[in-house]
Amino acid sequence: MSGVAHMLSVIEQNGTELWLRTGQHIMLTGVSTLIAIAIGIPLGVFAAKRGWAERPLLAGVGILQTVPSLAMLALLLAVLQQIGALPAIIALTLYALLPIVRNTVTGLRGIAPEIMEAARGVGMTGAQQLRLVELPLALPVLVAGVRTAAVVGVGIATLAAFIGAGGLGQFINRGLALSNTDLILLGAIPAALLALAVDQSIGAFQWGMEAQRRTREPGKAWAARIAIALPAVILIFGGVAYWSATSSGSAGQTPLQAGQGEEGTLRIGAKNFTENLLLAEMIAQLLEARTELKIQRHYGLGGTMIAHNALREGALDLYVEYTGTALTTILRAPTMSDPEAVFDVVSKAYAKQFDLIWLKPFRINDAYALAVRRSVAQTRGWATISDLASDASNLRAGFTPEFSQRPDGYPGLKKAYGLKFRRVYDIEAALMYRAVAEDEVDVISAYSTDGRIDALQLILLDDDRHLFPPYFAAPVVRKEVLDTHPQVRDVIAPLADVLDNATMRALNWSVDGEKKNPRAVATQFLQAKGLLPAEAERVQQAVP
Amino acid sequence: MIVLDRVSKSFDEGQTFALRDVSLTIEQGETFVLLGSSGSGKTTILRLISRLIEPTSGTITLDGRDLRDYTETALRRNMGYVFQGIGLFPHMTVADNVGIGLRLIGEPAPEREAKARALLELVGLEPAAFLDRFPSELSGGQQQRVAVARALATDPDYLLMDEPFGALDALTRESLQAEVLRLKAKLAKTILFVTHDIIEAFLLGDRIGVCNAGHLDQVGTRRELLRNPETDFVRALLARPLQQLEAFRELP
Repeated sequence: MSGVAHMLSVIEQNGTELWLRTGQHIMLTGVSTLIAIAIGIPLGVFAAKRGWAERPLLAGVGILQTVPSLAMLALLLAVLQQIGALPAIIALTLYALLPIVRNTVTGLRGIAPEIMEAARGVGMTGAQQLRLVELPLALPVLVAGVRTAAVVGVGIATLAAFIGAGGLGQFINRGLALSNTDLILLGAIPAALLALAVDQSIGAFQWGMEAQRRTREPGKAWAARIAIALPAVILIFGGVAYWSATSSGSAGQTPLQAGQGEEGTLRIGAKNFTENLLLAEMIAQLLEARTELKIQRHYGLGGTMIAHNALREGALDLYVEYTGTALTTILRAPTMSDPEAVFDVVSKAYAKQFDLIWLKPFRINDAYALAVRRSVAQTRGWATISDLASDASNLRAGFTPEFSQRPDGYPGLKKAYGLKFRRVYDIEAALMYRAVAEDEVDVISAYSTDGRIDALQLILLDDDRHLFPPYFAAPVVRKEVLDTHPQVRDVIAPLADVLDNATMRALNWSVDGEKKNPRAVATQFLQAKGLLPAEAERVQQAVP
Repeated sequence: MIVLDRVSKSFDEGQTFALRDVSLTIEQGETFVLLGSSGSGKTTILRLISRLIEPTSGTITLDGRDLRDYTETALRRNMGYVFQGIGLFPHMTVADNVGIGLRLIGEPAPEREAKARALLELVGLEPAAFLDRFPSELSGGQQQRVAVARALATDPDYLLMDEPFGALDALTRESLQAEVLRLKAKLAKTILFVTHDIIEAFLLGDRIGVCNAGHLDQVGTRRELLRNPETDFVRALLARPLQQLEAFRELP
């Protein structure tokens, strides 16, 4: 199949969701840009009129823009205590302020003093000077600021998916999590086209404003009016796309909503990687089949802190966390190697500090592990991490940036095993498996349940000194929810008996490697294990 | 009638004075010219009268009332101001520029346009050809004609003109000076005219005030100034045109 035909089929498969995400993306960018205009222009006017206010104001909005986008989202999540559109819109608004405020100030300052003296001289009040002279004259510079803000906003809005606000970033996010290039492109290409369209439409708006003022030909006046309307057309298009996609009710995930859940619904979150999403989806399907609960899916959350905060603040009801992550990242406790001790500490602390309940862990230990090529391990006789010690000074390691830093990562390896590799490369988790398989590096910081380990002929080295803490996966639920719906515990419980590391690796591979739909993979697995009834009901669920 | 009583203006909190102890009475209906070189304080007087700036000391009264008793906007709307250099709003058509004063007092658009037509005719511009043009599409002389029309739009009692023709070529300047003389006869306004051009001052002014370094050296009709210059500065100033003429004659 040619590239174009292939892409068209990808678009066809995701048609409704593409509408929804594009609509969301336009609404996120549009609403935040409009709010930034409403705040930024008065701020700019104020700064231009009061000399003393200019420096602190511009410095303030400038600093806002230097905050990394993900950090800003995480920060807002913590402050607002909710996920979804609101923190995303606030973050986008804050980013949009700098170009708008700065260009308002520049535009107003650029007006010749003689013109302002004339404005006062003919008897204009301050407000009249602003409305009749200053803003019209500053308009081209001002609109250029809005243009910058909106185009940058389209780009930043792709990150909104990390906090459950949807948008085209949802595809990118999911594509990254599932190592699926088609999905990444399905988000990235429309986002790029949208940025282009926004840029051109505001450019047309600028031209239209000028042309309408200057022209005396009716034909050109009409063209100018159309040009002026273009940005609004994009906004309306976004609204219609969003509305039509949500009202047909088929997008698979409930978008934009956050805060406390409705009666009778359960909101399940997932972090943005395959295994977490698969486990969440299995739980979701079990609950849909066995209880009356309506399930809202909030997948693709951009990290542990985001998911955890959402759960804590009641924006989510359940997601799958790992005991080791909870111990070190959330509780900031020292690492421990006994799985039961870790679960004990974590579940007690969660209940006490957060009113969150850890359900029975699955037998999945998605821990750090060192992976090497199977062929090399056989020739060199490597079975344990200790075996690496003598060769380490000749080996290239590919570690995720996180692993390089964490005490139970490379620093721990150095301490516990005395390992010091010749070179350590920072490498994305999604890329490291291929890197070691293709002999770019010799050893990587793998995750023990990753499907690519078997598929790429890698093996895991035994952690014979018990450095890596256990990372057993388990559902974490809000106590309040469990009190109201105690059946949740029993419905999920059987999952623990059918999952183990090997099974999980195979499931992960069918998504990461074979590019199967995670939903379908979850359904098939549950059916195969007899946890879901077959066919008839499945069809009903899979088709929107 | 405008009366300045010992008015001083300093822009640096009393270290130097742009204007010092100036007392002056401008009579109803006269054309009063402030004559002086740049920096002499003549524009400062104009700006003080329209309250674009406030005096450091002294008082100014307009028709018997202290200037500060008027609201700034009401005061300015009763004074047509023709500015030095660019004073037209570049984003507005000629019609909108001329009608701006009327717009500020809430006059509806059709009336504004009718008035703009009449005023353009008055200042010698064909309304149909100019109403929809923008200032950048006009010559310097045409721009100043529009500026005069704008200053007259609200039918103010006073007309303040700040070197309105300073940047124009000699021929255009002469034709506009003739225009002012015509308007003066026709409209009976009190005109306060600032210039550095002695000939222009003598041509237009009923009375002339000679400004020199923040002081008003002498006030009088052209005849009084010529017959009886009171300071060396005035004497030297009035000798200039004749010296120039001599120099011109002696050219080979």
